[in-house]
Amino acid sequence: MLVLNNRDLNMVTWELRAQAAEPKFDAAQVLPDFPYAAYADSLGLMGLRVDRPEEVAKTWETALKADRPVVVEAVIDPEFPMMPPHVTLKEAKAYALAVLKGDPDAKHMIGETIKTALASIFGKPGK
Amino acid sequence: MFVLHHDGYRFVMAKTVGDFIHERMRAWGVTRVFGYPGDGINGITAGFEHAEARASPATGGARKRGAVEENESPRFIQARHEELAAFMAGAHAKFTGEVGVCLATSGPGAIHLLNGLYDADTDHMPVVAIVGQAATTAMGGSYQQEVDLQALFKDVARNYVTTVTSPAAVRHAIDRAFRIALSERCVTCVIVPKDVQEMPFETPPHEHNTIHSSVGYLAPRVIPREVDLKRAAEVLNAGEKVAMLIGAGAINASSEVIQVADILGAGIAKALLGKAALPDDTPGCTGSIGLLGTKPSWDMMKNCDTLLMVGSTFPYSEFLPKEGQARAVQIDLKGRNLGLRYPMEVALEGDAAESLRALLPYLKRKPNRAFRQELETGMREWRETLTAMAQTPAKPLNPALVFHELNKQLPDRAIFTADAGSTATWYARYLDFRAGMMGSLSGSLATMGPAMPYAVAAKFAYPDRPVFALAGDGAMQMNGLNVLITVKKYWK
Repeated sequence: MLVLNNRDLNMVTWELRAQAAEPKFDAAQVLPDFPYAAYADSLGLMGLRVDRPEEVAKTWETALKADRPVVVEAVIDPEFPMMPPHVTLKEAKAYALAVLKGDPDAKHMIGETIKTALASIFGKPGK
Repeated sequence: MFVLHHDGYRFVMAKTVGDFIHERMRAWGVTRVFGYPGDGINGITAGFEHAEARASPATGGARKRGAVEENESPRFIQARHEELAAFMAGAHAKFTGEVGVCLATSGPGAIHLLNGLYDADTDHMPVVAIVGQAATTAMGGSYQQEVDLQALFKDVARNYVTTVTSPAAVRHAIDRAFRIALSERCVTCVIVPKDVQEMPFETPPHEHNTIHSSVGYLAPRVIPREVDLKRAAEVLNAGEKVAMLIGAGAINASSEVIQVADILGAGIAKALLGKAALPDDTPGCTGSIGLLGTKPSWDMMKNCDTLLMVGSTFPYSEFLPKEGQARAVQIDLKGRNLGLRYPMEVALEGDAAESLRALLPYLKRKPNRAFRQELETGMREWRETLTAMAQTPAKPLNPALVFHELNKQLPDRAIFTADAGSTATWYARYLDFRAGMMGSLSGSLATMGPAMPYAVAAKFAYPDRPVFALAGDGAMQMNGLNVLITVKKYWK
């Protein structure tokens, strides 16, 4: 069992940004943190929490070899962009507008977003 | 109510309506009923208890874990919440092809079932819901836990919902609920007032005002007429750039889809519920489609001159060709799904595998493979994009990386369940399915919360297969954490 822990109702947050040109509304979108892996441990299952990229592969190896049900808690970035396969100008504009309106924490991902968008459009990153 | 009768050498309890419901479900081949108890269904849960006691009399009904006697079946599986029980019943149907069954008490229990039942309904899964009701002596009296269940279930179980008010009516109510669920691929509901559950079962007498029903459903072979298959072939043979879109209806048509696509030089996009219908390394396969799809699927639909849609009601028209751009053929088991998403020149009602097999002899091999080769090149580039995206640094983890690494280690015959939300995107794009794998999620309702209960149902159905539930923290907090308690209860 995999839990993506990003403390965000992420799909809807991205829909707000890309479709409605609205910034993330924290009161509705932010989720409280919860110790998913530790909770699994407390039930006699196996909990594995991973927050370092170099440990992801190893975590899956451990999970697949386990003698009991496993909860893999992956602590992920809520601002990693949810890009459609083809980024339309309209969506890119909506996203930029949302950021300009003061989205509380989207700014650090704008560089990544543009890179991903280019990769989606041209097939290869930077090509 | 306890009714004793003498069977020749001792007094035994007479078979109640509750006992009969259990026995009849066994006759319908039901192995598991997902539910939550309540005093409105005590007479039905007693049927499970009596069967377990009969199966293991020496231990007073206590059973070794995992060992289910045949005459004890179906077994009662306790969910944490009735909605979870309904999700499990729907998932059982999705992963086994059998009917799924859930059981809930009157009033609040019945109301809790609804979202899970709508999920099954909108994804066309055969599910029977059995629910309790206030006693017939109290019905209509605004009694405790009494709500108008006929009205409540009338939409989701529009094909069949009935209230059993006589022990002689329970047999046909159960039989019809199962047969209609299977033949219409829908949700049905049997409401049983609590006093009726405890009454002695009565076989309907051979007289006026009685119903004489039976058990069993044999799925038919549904193939379009030859003249229509030929018309479909003409359209497909005339095109130069054929795009195929397959969905859940094509899940048992993998080899036929591969053959048809090969002859037509077609690309094949998979709607989310059809992810397991085709291995991702199939030549011409462009993977998922839609907002969480691939760029080659998008390009294929923008550039095709012919569309062949098989077993899908994929809803997003902006990801399909423009009206008039492509000539189109559709195959769907249900006539009501035809000509729904794109104007079809030939719309065929039929089973995916049988109809494609019947279509094959009329198709001409296209010598020009350029369209498909372009898509294959596009897929290679798309995969490089996915890898680059997964390797983009993030704080702290990039979600795509988590799926990218899992994809490298997928065990054979794995079963996947995914939740609504961004998880579904990573599931759609990053997991390459191989033959023998299965996967599902809430396709049409796209509700939050199915990943964990679906996974539990999958594991019960296939204890020897690896099952992955892929969920976000929203879904886990909504209901998944509670499903972990069910996992704890049953995993050993």
